[in-house]
Amino acid sequence: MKLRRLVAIGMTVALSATMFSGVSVYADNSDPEPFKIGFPWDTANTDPTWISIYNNVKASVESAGGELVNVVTDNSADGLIDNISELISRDVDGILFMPASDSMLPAVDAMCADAGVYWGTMFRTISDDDIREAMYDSEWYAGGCNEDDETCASNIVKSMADMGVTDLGVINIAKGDTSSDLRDKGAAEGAEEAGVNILNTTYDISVTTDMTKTIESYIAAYPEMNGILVLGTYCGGAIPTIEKALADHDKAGDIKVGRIDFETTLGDYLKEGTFNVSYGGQQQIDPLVSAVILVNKVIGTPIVEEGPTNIITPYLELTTAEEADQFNEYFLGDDAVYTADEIKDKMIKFYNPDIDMDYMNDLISTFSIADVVERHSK
Amino acid sequence: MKRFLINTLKVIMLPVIVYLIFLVICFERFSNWNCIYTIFLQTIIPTITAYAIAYGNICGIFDFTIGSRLVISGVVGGLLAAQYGLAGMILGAVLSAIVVGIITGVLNWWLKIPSLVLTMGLTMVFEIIGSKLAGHYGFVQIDNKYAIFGSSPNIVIVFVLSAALFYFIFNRTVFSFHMRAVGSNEVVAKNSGIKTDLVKCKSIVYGSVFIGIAAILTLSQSGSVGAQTSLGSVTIMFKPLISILLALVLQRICNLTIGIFIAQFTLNIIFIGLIAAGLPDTFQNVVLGLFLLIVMILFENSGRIEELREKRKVRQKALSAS
Amino acid sequence: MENSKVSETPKRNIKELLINNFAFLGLVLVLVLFEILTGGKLLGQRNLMNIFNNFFSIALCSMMYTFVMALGELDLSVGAIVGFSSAMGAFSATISPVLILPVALITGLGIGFISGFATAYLRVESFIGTLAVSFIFRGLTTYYLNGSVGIPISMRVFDEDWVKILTMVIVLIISGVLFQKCAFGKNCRAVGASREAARQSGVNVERTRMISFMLVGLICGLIGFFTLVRACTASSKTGNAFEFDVLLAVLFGGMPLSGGWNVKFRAAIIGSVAMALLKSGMSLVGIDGLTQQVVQGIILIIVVAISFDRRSAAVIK
Repeated sequence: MKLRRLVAIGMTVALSATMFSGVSVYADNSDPEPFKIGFPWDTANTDPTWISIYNNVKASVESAGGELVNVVTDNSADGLIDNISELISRDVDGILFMPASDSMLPAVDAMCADAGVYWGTMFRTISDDDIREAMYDSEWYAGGCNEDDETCASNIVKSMADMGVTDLGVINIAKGDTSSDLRDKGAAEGAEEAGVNILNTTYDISVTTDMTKTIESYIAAYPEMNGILVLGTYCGGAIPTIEKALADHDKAGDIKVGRIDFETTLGDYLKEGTFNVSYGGQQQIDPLVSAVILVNKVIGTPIVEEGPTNIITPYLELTTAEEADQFNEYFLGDDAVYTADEIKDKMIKFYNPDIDMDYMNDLISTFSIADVVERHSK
Repeated sequence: MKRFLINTLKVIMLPVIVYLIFLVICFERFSNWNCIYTIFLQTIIPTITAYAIAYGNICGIFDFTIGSRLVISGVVGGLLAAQYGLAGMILGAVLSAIVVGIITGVLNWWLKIPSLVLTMGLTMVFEIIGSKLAGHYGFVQIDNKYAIFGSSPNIVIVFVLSAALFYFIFNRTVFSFHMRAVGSNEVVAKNSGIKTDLVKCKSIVYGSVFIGIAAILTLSQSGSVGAQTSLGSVTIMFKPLISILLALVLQRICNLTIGIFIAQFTLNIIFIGLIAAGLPDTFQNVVLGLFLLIVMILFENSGRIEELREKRKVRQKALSAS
Repeated sequence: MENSKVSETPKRNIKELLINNFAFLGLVLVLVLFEILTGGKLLGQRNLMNIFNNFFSIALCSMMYTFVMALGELDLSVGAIVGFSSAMGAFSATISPVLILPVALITGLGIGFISGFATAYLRVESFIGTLAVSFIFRGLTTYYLNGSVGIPISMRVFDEDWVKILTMVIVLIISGVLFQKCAFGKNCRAVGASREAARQSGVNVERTRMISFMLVGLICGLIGFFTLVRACTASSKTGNAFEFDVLLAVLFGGMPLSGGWNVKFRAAIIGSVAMALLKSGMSLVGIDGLTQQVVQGIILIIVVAISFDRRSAAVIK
């Protein structure tokens, strides 16, 4: 009994220590009126991309002296609605999130309109025409930044077709996610145009063992497969796992591998020549610009006076191991791809009245790995 | 001998029938040796994971921590592989699995709370330990030169040795009898002088050895192990757990060691079969659920079915007599 | 000697009282701790509604889950039922939004019937049976939705606070009375304590078990409806991991897994509220997601380690 009590006391002490170690301290800045941006994001996820997304949003908000308020989310539609409700109750002035689907947006708009809170989206476009029209009419929708998922998927399939791929096994994130659906659509279009046969698509793989199993099953069931395309995945270490499965079946190099969204290991395989093509690189700039759009709206200097601001980032292409290493260092490090000071000078209209859509589009068009390296290399 | 052969045939019939179904559906894609070989190779890691679960399961312990312990073991193995090579990977994975297993087992002993509650709480803690250990990238990767257990014949050798070890501990030791006694009736076991708490603790620790082996094979086969959070690791154990349940059904005609393998092999036939048939992967869960439900219904009602058969026989006899 | 016995009794009584009500005391502790740490924001008017929204679904399900827990059973299909009934509700909205609620309820009830029938009449262990049911309906949800399906935004009228508060009160009264005062609740506990003894005393064990699962299914259908009208969309992720949330809530409340007469209805409420307060408090203080998970895990173990009644459990599995 004493022992159990001791264990319980020990656990209580450990608990108290961990609780207080997690308290974060936000910076205190000035200039525009102090404001708070709510950001539902899964801070329990240790994937460096997820961490870098948080860092980039934080840099944008703090560039104008704002405070970022995070609530932990599972990124599902109902989870996000609860998060938005919570953030509204915490008196935020704007909310930035990654929509789980188009159909949840009217509910978000209604909640934000009732509370008088601006909201913005990141990574996702609004595909549904009716919903897009309704949201664009809303005075509370600030807009957002996203990549052109459909074109990106279509082009990567065509690019793989140029490498000789005719039969493609596909991996994607869960259905229902706007990006997942658009990438599926784009891949199908690209495949049709280039005459590529999509053999099968597997969704929502989250652990490496399932990734191995899927690739091995593809190899076994589709001997004709000569390409694997990862349209998206939340599985950490996806590419090493795929490469390992291919190597174990003596298929490394024979089966071409492509991936949308960069990950940390691509450099090694580009060097070996067993990985072939990756489009992406927007996981940092998208949230950063999305936050910038929202911040500008919240502090009363919107980039576009009438209606929401929508910026589309062009995808980058990773072609060399050196670029991959630079990506790891400069995109996935502790710093945002634009520092808070750079954002303040270049993207916050309060400080730079020249900012408008053309200005932003020009700025985004110069964004590349080399550009970030040049600005941030010491 | 005749009985053994008949039983063996019965057991083998399960995967054979499932395989034949898919062979009919997609003959071209399913009728190659590579397909069967891949199914076999894919069966190994979940089978060893199921061996790890089986110890606790037989004792009546429900253990949510299996997946999170596997992640910690894999991550530690991967980190030590970078420092000390192959020996580091093997020792790191097995020893860390045992250490975390001891923590789980001892807490289960000391705290005397339902294992489901304890392991649910511990999973939440272990997942975070795993993700902290995995560091900045959220996963660890090993150099391919250390992945010698990931492919044939080494993976098969490890599997055979693991199965032999499992069989030995599970069938040929005093501990195995104690474990079964605790599982069937803990009060009676306690009254007969068995240290039930110690047996339960041991069952978790013994299972940990297999977690370590599964982690080594996962690292070797996939080349990496990724951290899981928000109870995501719990799903790792569901499919191996299903194979144990099916193996328990088969236990009347074959040993659990083989039964688990056969059940997992059958599940993998379904998995690859659905992919080969071009069906969406969402069907996997539907088929898996239906398969589990039907088998469990048949198992739990085998007595009734037998009774009905007997009644029918008697009725037929009576009818033919009249 | 006698004197010492006498003086020990009140001490023991106080100790027992504290242990028996530890979950409640824990709730108060969490409340006070975070109220101080958040500078009074935790129980601010706006945050209170937010806490209510957080615990609404979990509390509704926990209340009906009490019947299943009283039987000594588990239902791992609750998340899948919420997801599937929400999806079916969304599909029915394409015919008429009026159909959403009845379709969601019937779907939930139907799946509850399948789980209940498999468990009670076909003798499949509830843990396995409901796990299988969960696999089936989770897969079907993803397959049929093929993405996500939205419903008219006008349906958000059912997401009004008063509608949910009224629903909560109605469910609380019905389930509370059913569990504490009606024969059905007592039958559930009797079956959980000893199936054979209950059968001997005239309880229809199979029917009691099946109805319990159907009640859980029905409430999950209702939760599916509220989830749907709140987000105005049904997706394959709807109800994901809900089974763990509910299980955590009832365990937080100190509900025993063994079932029987020790199962207290209040555990469902205390657990749900405590979990919502804990989550909201940690979020308000600015604790990150990783730490939140560790805190929840450790608190769960501490609460159960202190409040678990070891004497009445002959065997702890």
